Amino acid sequence: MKLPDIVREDIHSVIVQVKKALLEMDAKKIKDLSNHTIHNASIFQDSFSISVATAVYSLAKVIENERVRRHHPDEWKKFREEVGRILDDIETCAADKRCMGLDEEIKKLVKLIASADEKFTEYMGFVMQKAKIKKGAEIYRHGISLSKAADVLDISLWELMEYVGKTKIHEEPVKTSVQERFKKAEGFFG
Amino acid sequence: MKSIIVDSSSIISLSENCMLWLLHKLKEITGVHFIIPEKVKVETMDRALGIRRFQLEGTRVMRNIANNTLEVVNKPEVKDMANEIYDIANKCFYTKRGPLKLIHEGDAEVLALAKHLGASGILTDERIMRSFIEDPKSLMEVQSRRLHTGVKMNEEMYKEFKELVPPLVILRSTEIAAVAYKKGAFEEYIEPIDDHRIKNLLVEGIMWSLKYSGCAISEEEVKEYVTILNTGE
Repeated sequence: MKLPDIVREDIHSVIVQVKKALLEMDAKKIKDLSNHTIHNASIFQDSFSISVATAVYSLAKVIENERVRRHHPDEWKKFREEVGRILDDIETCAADKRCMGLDEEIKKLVKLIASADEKFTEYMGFVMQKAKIKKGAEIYRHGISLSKAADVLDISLWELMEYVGKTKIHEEPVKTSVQERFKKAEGFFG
Repeated sequence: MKSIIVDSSSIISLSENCMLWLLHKLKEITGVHFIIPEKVKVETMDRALGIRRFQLEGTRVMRNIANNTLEVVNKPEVKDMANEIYDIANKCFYTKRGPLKLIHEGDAEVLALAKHLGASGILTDERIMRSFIEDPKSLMEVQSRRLHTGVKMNEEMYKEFKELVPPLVILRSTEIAAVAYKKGAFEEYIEPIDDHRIKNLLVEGIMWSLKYSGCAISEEEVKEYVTILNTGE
């Protein structure tokens, strides 16, 4: 798909800021940046914004895990350098209006984070999958249907609902009261 | 034949809590048929059977399809209508960046099937489709707030959508459980327990468990339900 300029520019800007936050090891800032990308992901539902949002969020989860840094200092250093290189490449690709190679570089980042998660922790593919579910819930919170959000993130509706049920997403005030809805239901079933 | 079209979200909430039997019971008592389109079957049964974590739940859905509690309808004309609904619904709201693709092909198929069969209700546990039909203005407000950008409605498109989709009663799994409770579906469960708190605990338990499984109901609404079902007020 042709990437709208606004999405490409946003990805570029987010990546520049992620690089800076990574140097400062600021996981919270990186998570916030992932949320920024999710606005575009909700509107355009493009694979680029979605992959960047999940990869950036997963990166934040990996770097906030102190045990990884303590127990695997050499691998951690190598991982960080490699992430830095890929982020440089994504920045370059996103600066180009034709987005040449952007897709491949984002995929490289996703793959690197997923493999780091498997290498450093006991969970296989846990961080990336959890990030996808979290971002799916964010998209739902933005007013896109659950099935659509699950489809866009390529996760099952089962996983998404399980997560959404534990959040405060459904705490918005509603127009129809419970009394009214129950009456309708009783009327329906006679 | 009175029927209600069931979407994936309600089947998931009910299945997760071993409450799909309520549909069977309600069908028995009231004669209302519970219908699902093909896409809902794929999501709630086929897909669940392929995920270890949800395989057991998938077999519960499988059982309810096999015993005809959930009746699967798969007709090409429904798919055509679903495509039309999908196209129109996803052009009803827009931002300066373009139209918002709000609903999924599966959601559209639920609505198309309701129209095709002349069903008077849909069962859905998710908030967006419900708000889209019942209260589009407040959905638009939520979207504007969350997306940090102005969301507008294409009134013409929404009118077209309303003309295409019949007036529908929208229920959640919590309404199913509440009606079933009122009709005595849980009596066998309550009877052997000699504890005056049981009814209250049961109603609370049902409502909270459905909420925690993803049914779009707020804490406040759960509390209201507990009062209504226990006092009848």
